[in-house]
Amino acid sequence: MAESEEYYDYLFKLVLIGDSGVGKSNLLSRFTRNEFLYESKSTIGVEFATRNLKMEGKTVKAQIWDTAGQERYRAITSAYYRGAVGALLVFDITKRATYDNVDRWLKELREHADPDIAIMLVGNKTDQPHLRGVSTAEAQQKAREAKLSYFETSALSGDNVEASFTELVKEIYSIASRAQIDVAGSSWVPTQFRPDHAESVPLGGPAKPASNGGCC
Amino acid sequence: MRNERTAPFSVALESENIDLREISRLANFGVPDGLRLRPIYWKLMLGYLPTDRKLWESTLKDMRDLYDTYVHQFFIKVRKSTEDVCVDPLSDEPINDKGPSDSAWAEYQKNAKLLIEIDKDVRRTHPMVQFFRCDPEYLAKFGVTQKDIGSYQSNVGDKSPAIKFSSLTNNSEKGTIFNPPERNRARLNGLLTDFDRLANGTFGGILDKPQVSQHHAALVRMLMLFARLNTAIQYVQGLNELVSMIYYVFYTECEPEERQYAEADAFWCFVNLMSAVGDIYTVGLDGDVIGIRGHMSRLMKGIEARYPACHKHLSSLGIPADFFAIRWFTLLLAGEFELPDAVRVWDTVLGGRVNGPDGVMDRLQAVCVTMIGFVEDDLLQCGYSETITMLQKYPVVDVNHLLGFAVPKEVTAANNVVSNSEGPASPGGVEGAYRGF
Ligand SMILES: Nc1nc2c(ncn2[C@@H]2O[C@H](COP(=O)(O)OP(=O)(O)O)[C@@H](O)[C@H]2O)c(=O)[nH]1
Ligand SMILES: [Mg+2]
Repeated sequence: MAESEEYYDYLFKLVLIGDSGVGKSNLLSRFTRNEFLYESKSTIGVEFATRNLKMEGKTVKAQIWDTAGQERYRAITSAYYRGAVGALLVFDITKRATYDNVDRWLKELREHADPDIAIMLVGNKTDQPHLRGVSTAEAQQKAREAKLSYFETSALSGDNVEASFTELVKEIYSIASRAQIDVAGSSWVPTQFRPDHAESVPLGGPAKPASNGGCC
Repeated sequence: MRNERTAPFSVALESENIDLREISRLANFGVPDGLRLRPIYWKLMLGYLPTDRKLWESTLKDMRDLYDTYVHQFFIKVRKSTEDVCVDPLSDEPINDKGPSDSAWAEYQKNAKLLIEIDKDVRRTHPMVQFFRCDPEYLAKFGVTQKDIGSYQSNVGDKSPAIKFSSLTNNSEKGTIFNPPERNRARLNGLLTDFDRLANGTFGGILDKPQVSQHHAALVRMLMLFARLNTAIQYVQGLNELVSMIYYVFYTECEPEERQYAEADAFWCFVNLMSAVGDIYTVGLDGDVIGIRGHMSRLMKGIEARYPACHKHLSSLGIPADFFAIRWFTLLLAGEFELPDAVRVWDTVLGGRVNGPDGVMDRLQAVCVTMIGFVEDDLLQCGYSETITMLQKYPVVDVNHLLGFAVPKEVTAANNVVSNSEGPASPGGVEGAYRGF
């Protein structure tokens, strides 16, 4: 039960961002618990779930943070970007406005997240092709321009959910394992040698000290 | 046993001039269930009912009439502005921020956006509570049959109370259809009908999704109206949970013939509640002591003073209050417990009102601090993820026991004598112990 007994080699903190209602919470529950709730409660503040993945024989613990998409909450949840090495920026392929907001979310990441954060653009709700308001080609184009990878998913059917998260983790893993070799372990200390609570190490930099409680 | 507790409460509520301190104190043992007393108690605590019973009838009549007038005027006005847009040749423009700055169009957009945003959250308010779920009788009025409900539910698993309207979705399953003007015209026409129905009380839901019950329509109406009346807060996610708590209690615990007024009463009580706790929703106050950040640091200080081991645990793990307490405060704990327990927590939290304008937030602080201490033994065993998980999914506990620690009866009794809210800190009590932070 005690977490420290749970073995993992890497700890990656990922964040889920995007407008309210695009399916972030359901992507998270689909990925971590294989659950989908048609009428899930709206997320207030931040929520959190983890799942372990295997990469080349190593265990990667993905610690995924989900947040409220509403404007009002962005101001008070920026702390949650701290230490994140990956972000899934989600929009709803049936709601154009959520796609139009992608640029604002990218700006948000630029302001609050580590500059080297790996970002994946995700178009969710592909189970509703008849309501599609954003074409695949268009989204791919935007992703290419912003140098992001692009995935289309359905949290409802489960299509591509596993693949998108895994791909993002793989991307980060390959950078991380390279970084580990490059800097000879100085920045990438395998997590079992770090205290359990250490936040994942931002790519290319030494571990930041854990924030003190009290926040604010 | 039961009578020992219920009798004083009923008696206190029957007196000509109600002693708010006394009923607040009695409510700290929980408002007796099953006697239809809770709506009265909440209305008193929220300043909706005056303490003088003789004034109740006229007050209620005035406020209920006023609500009806507001709803009518507001939605007629909204309908009018929507209509203006519809006759406008620009109505084929997609709904987005780039539309012309014509005032009718702007007004229309504001209302349409608000309605869509609110509807989306109302739809997912207490999805697991029967009261808020799909009501087949209600849906029948909109031509939705039991069969539609059944087939839709089997599509997405039985958790879904929502229905898909075939008329709007069956036009093509062929894949990529991308026709904004057509979709937006349908959307405009749909909204026009929605505003009509909101105005005349037959709201059936927006766009391709009907409301699932009359209660959804009531929640949408209240939130729309509030958003337009309170321009500082408008609509913030979470308000749906607060208003639905009040409405649920009023509707399910009142005399059956009073149910028709549950919405109007809930609306005004919600307005009053927001005047007591609205600061935490106000973006402009985030940095202020009375804003949400101020409350989170006050919580951490409260934990530090009361449960130093827990505080040390949280800070050594690097877990700030942001990671669990945003929702605690925003929903006044309504999201941390099952509905009946949350209602019980509110009996106590709302009772703080007798201690002055900050009384409700003070009580909330006291309960939040106690929630940490209440699980101290388990918490201290937890690592980083487990600690966060535990606080984000607070374990099922005996809420009466928990509340007894947070606001012990001696403190409330003491407050009765010492009219100043600063009651002496009692051995087990938290409330009142951290003034000055
Ligand atoms: N059809 C469909 N609906 C989805 C999908 N993912 C989420 N939803 C629905 O969209 C709404 C919002 O989902 P949620 O996960 O709460 O979105 P969030 O606000 O981004 O966290 C809910 O009603 C979900 O059931 C999906 O892949 N397909
Ligand atoms: Mg969510």
